[in-house]
Amino acid sequence: MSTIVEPLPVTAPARVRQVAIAGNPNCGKSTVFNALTGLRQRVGNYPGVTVERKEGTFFGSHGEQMSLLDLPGCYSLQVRSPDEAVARDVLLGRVTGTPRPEVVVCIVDATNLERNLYLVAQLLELRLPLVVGLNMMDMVEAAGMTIDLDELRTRLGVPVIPLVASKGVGLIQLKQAVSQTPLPELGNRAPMPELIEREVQMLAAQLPVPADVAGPEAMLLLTLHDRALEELAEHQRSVVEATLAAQARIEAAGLDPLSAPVDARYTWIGSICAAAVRKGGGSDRTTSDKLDSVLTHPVLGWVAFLGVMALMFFCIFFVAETPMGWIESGSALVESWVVNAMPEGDLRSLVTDGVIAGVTGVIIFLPQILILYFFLGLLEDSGYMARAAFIMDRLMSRVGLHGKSFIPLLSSFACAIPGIMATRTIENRKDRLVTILVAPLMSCSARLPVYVIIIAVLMPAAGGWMKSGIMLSMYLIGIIAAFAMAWLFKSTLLRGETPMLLLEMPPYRWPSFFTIVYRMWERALIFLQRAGTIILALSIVLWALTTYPKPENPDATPAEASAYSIAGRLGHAIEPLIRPLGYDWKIGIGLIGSFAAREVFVSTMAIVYNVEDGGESTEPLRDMMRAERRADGSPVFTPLVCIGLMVFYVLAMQCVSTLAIVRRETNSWRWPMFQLAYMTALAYFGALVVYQGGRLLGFQ
Amino acid sequence: MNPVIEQFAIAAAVGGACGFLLLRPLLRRRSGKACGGDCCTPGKIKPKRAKKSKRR
Repeated sequence: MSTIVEPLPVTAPARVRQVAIAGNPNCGKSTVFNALTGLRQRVGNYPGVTVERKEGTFFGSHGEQMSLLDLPGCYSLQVRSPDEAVARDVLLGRVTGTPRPEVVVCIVDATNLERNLYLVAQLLELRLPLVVGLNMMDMVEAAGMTIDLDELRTRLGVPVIPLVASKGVGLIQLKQAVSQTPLPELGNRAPMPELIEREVQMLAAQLPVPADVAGPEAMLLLTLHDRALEELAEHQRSVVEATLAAQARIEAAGLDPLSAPVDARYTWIGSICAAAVRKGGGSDRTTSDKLDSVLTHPVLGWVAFLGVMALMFFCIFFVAETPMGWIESGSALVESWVVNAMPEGDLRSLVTDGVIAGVTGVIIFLPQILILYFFLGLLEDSGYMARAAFIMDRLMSRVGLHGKSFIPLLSSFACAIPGIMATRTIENRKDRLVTILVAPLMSCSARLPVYVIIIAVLMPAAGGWMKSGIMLSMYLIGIIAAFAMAWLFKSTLLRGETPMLLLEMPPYRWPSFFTIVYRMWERALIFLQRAGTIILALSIVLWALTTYPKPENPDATPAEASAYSIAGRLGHAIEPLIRPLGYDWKIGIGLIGSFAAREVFVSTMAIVYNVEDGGESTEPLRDMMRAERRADGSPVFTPLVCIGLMVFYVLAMQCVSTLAIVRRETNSWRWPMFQLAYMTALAYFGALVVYQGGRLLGFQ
Repeated sequence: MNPVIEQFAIAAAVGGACGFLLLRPLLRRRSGKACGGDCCTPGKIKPKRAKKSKRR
């Protein structure tokens, strides 16, 4: 008997629904995004963590795939900074290659409903299906407030889902709301004055944009002031003139075209909040307020800030000692195993003096880098970062730095790359450029290994507090240099007024242990990945440069052979340039290698000393550096040379990746090249002043 | 160890390292990562799939 198998009906591939998450800064958008997509976008308890749109996918309540866009936070669609413009452009379908979202999820900080509903009011005007996610409902309860969700749903005309995104509460209902077919109905809009509505319709008819966005585009145009209208590049001249004419007609009728729509929205929001929100009867002074009276105090705030930094550096030295010891012993064990297993020769030298010395020389600092990230995570997640920005603003505004520069500068302590990307929150181009130019002066985590090894050479027997004091000084030198250069740029190249800082103070929250541990894990992976790729490759190349060519005399000592090698010759060639800084040719090779990545200095020193030693010694690098002598028998690493070298590393621009990101952000090679030139000159001058000035004062 | 094999192994290691350092920026640019190593998150996790409903 034959069986007839009928072919399955061919169905068109299911369309992927485009969903966008919008909302005010620091309301939990990225937390919702991460929870829905399973991705691990960076989150933090301060405004401006997300500065780019991030895309992910998730599966709706019926298993259908959906695309999810996480947009940077914005208070309204009248944008002020490049990151806010990203959100507006995506929502209006202006971005080529990114379809206009079919449904928008607006995440709202429920503890601050009135302010957050302003963006909701504007999103409702976009005539897109909207779902409101009322986040931080646990904090609403804790504050004794109540929100009448049914009243809110009725007034807004859209689904309102209560959420505690950090605990995953309400996410299933949110998924169900965006998975609905048909999509949620378009909600209610804030009633506008009749004249404004009429002018918007007339202006919309003249705009060369699709009909579904013409109304919102016209409303945005109508609320722009003359100068902003003149600067518009995306509209024709006739559109600008039509807008100016419409504004004139509104003004003639006794209304302000810029503020009338804003007032109308706030009146509407006021009526909604009056009907839906019941405030608790507790004290107005919250725990956050009480903490802020100390942490943002003009004197106590500084004491707390410096105390936190000092504690962080103490832990970096004290707590990391034990795991560093384990890595050191493990490395010595592997090295001795290789020495026993392989016959003597160049290949064994490559493995022990090149690969093992170079790579483990850097890996040994992993515990310290993880502790740095643990503290940065604690500060970011708890909400302290915004307070630190507030107390630093008093100082920063004096040198002309925008208050919003603080978050990018503080992010640069981890790595200058996210720091430079975070400058997108700064509205003014000149202020943004100044911040980009000085951000790499903040000591990033790649400098940590260099500081640690030099401090160990400088004071091997000193206690943790002493070492952390020196480390703190290096960080402070970087901050002072950044402020001084910012002042110089603001008074010469990039002149302009510094706007006032308007910064939202997020409430203090208990840091999420999982977020911090995940971030540390992520950094450990990046660090080990770098050690296993770039550092490994550079170590092999550096070993070859310090080993070949070999001297013709077979009886030459390892030191003579090292000086005869390509690296030795290169080092000797640049020695006249670095001799005024007190450096010998070996340090010179380390400096050259550091232009690929700063931590390569440690690998280079390890390779140079191991090769020169003929691979005989297994003593730690710091002891080899301390034992290094000049031709006259005096030590190479004197206190002045060590301090000068650290100052050089504080001030020098030695990171190719940072130059690449500055090129991308400024859209020109001019600024990264200028940055490289000024920072190298500053580093040389700084190290020269330390060494020569110290000698003049009688130090060694 | 045979000196020829030893020299060959060293040449391969050094050549491979040089090739990696020269080609890496080009490969990264082609894959859309123009920002160096530190800003890109490694190990993306796959999106969560919705649990199948037990209802028929």
